[in-house]
Amino acid sequence: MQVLLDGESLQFVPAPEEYHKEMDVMVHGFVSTLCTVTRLLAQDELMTQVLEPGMDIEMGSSLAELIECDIHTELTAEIKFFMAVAFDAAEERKQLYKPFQGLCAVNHTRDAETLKAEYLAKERTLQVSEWSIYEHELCSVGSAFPVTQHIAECFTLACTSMIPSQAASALPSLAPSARVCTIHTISQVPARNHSLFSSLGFETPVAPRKTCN
Amino acid sequence: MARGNGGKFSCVCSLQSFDDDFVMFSQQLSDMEALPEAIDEGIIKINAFKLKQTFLPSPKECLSQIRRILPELAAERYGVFISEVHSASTALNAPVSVVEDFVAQLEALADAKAKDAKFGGQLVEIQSLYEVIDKFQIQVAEMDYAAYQVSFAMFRVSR
Repeated sequence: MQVLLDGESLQFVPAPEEYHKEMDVMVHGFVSTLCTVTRLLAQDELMTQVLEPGMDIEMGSSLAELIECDIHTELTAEIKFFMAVAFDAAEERKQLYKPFQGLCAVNHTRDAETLKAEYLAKERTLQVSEWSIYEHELCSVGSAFPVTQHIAECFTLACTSMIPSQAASALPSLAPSARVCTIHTISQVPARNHSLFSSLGFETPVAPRKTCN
Repeated sequence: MARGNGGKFSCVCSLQSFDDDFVMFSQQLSDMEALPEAIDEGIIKINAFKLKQTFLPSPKECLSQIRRILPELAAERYGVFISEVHSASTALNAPVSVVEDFVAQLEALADAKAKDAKFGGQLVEIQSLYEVIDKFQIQVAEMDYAAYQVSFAMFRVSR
């Protein structure tokens, strides 16, 4: 049987119920064949009769019913047991494929164009290259924050975690003044400013203070 | 936009996240390819061939998106970078005949100096993009790659 994706779940095709129905038909057919055997002496002979029918010996209808009932019940129970074991094992094997179904569903939500636009927007916002512009502003206007080397380094760290690939390679070569400008850059974004400062354990300063000479 | 990371999502889209995603989708693809197409379980044989064929296009498509996007990003960033460098270069190389030209060129020089760090940052980013492109052996337009290589070398020399 096949295991297939059906909507949000994995299903066996044909379903186990179909196998049970088929099994019933087969067992019934087998027992019906047995009941045409005209003489019942021993098990070996019975099988010979099944394989080579045509022996002309009568068997009472009540005996036929008895055979049908016993054999059918016994066979059905035995086959059902084996089928149940096999289907349980199959159900467990199905779990092997289930994680991939979830991954595909997550992958499906991925929108390449949005990611591209997001990358361009985010990298531009935090671009190291723009710090020089803020450096000029910082010198002429003055930062709103009391800048210390420690804070600058904390911000360097924060920016590194935001854009690791770019910041990690660029930051070591930046002059200390440029690092200070990072703080000024972030200070231009009020919403981010407060949470970033808080996350770094600093109080948000209020008094402007000139930091560059 | 949610981002994939081992089946889970973060909210940061950066070059590093593209790098991580590429590794993740490659792993997904190899894991899916390693799935058995048939399993014997007692009296039952489970056929999973069609199921595998259903799964496989997903990571392949995601990888192909990254393979398409990264060269586009590199080309886009390079376009902006080279355009700004050309503008600065044109202003610096303008002929000087009168005092106003000289003043304009001094301003252009100051502007170019101020933008030096910016150009450096842009180049670092473009370089990082191409490093990821090289790392995953992503196909890129030969002209784009050649232009980047030449500009990178020239910019370093000019600095």
